[in-house]
Amino acid sequence: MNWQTIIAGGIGIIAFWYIIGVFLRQLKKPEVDPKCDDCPVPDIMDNKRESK
Amino acid sequence: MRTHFFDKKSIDSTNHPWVALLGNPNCGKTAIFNILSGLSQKVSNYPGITVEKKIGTVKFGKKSFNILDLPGTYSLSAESFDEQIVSDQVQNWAKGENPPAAIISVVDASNLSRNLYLTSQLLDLDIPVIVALNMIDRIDSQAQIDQNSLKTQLSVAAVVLLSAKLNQGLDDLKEAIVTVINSEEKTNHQSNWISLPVQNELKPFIDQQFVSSKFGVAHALRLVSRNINHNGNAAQVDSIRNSISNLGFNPQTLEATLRYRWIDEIVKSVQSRAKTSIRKISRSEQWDKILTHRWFGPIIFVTVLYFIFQSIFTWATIPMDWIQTGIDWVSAFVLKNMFPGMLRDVLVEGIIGGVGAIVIFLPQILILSLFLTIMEDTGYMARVAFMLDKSMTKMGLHGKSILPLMSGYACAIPGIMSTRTIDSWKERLITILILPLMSCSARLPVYTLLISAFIPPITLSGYLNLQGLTLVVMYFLGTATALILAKVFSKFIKEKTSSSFVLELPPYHVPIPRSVLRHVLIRGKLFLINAGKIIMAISIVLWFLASFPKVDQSITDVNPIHYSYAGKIGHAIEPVIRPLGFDWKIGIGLLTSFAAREVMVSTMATIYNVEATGDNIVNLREAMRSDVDVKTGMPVYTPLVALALMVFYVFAAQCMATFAIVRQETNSWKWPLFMIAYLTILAYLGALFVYQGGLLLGFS
Repeated sequence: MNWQTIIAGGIGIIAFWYIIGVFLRQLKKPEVDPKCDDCPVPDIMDNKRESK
Repeated sequence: MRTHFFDKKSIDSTNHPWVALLGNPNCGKTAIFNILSGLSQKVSNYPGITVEKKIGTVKFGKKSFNILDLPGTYSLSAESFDEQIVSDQVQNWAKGENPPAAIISVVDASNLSRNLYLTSQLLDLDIPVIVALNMIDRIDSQAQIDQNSLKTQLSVAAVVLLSAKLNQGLDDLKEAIVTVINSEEKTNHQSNWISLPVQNELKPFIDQQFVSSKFGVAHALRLVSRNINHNGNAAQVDSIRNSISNLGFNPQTLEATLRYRWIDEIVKSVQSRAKTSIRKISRSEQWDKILTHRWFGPIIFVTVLYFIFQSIFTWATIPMDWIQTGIDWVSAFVLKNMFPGMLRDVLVEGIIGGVGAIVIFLPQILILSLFLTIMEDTGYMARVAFMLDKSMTKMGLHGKSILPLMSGYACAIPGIMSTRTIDSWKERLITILILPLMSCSARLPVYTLLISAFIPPITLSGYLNLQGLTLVVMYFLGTATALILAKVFSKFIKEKTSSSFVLELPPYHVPIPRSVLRHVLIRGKLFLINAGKIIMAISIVLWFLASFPKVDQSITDVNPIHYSYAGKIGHAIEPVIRPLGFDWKIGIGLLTSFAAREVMVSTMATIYNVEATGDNIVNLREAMRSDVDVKTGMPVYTPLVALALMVFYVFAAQCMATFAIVRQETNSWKWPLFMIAYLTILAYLGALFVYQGGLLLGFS
């Protein structure tokens, strides 16, 4: 196995885990307003639940 | 240091004092917040942009403080979700729960009386208030405001004149904030707007939890005015309402009557020419006579939209060619300077081929974003909402739905979040459900790839470019279907809530180039970096799936990609999508593009690059045009297949982030799963109708 194969394999594994991570993160905490730089996840539903 | 989550823990953890920004919608709070904190929250020229709390840190000399931006509200009587955020927050402060060191009440100086209504409610809290008179550049020289007199009469900590647009007066505001934070003077605002007899009537309703008795009285009045039963004692509410009526007041409008009586006296004394300036017909009103005209208004709107979509094609051609040349150069450079091997193949066929196929669409994304930002910043978008209110209501929507729906042309996620301004849950839910049908910028690469490859660039009737027209039709198809479905959903979603539509039409502005440029660059950055990361990762993984297992080519004539993992998955899906005219490659694209719609293009590019035998990176358009079915000898992709695929993407559910945000906003999985189901069925049936219908009519 030459060095290109080893590096390519490493890149492939990182890419695979990155995709899995993105999907899992989306399920736990969705992407926020993409129009802003680094907005917080809104907490309105938590407030609603608390008020109920 | 930046803090982005507003909660007690995060505020305390910074050890900085903090202040809150409050004001009416569209008075420039977020513009002030951005300048003070250096953040880039979205600002625009229509009400309801900020729908959640945001916090940043401000440095002034050696002093630092945190600043909280809240959604705009006209008063503390909440009518919608975003206003409820403010109302709840203020009530917590009134109970002594983590109150700010000061409140900055942002006031539109050109509309003093109405803006001071909220200020007068905030004064009841007995928290130091700084009145920031924004948009001072709009005040004509004859209607100047006496800031010292205003400060004395409101008995606030400071009145600061500023213009966020011209970046004037912000240092004065920071200085005033630091002075208030350092001061240990106890606040006791003289907001004597409520008469003693009325106060006495309200006594049984005053919540003892409130630290400030004035806020307690005002809160009790709001409950009584809105006929809200306190501790279930309806009879007592009726009795107090009768007593207030006997004092000569209407209980429903009592708070507004008393406060405005007080405010009008103040405004009269601090701004002598205010009434004269209000009577003048402004330039914005003159423009509105044409732009919101019953007949001319919609014609102008449609013309503007058509111009935008045509421009996306015509203006982007040259920069797209530059990017393509750059990608070819990078690919040639890697091929020339690296030894053959797996890493070189991943780089050229996977990363450069896949990501490069998407990057060339950046100019079109930027042009679309430029036009949408200009429409918002000029104030035209608010007029569109006003014009379409009647039609929206007929379709089971709300006038306020149009702004989230128009945001959906850029991206569904901010659109879904901005539905919080809609106070009726039913109308809000319907808007959320149809929002993914508005063609977002992620679909643009798919549309433009297929249009430029398969729709001839001919001109109809001398001025209608067929490629631009096809793009308009795709946008129109999504929008029209969204409105029809809104009507259908409104029949099935049973909820007896309705709401009125009150939208303040902001004056027309010439957009600030710096602000427009920042929006466009943010959109470009999001496309390149946020979407780019997942596109690159998928392209790499797909390259492996399309390249393995390796097949001995000496024993077969068929391209080895057909035996690869990707090929096997694609061929397994093919029978389901064959009736739509789609082959296995498109099948793979449909799967991968669930991460993001534009991944469809990079997927096709990666597959063609792996399939190609030569060293050079393939031109995706040419590769798709010249692809021939080995069994039939016929082209795999035809204009009819391209149309069917575009229609599929008009309706398709392919966007995971959208469904994640819908789950969050509806607080259940029921609605996102319903959306995925109905959009997928719609996409399938739409593409089937186009392809099979086209075949029946003799098209290929």
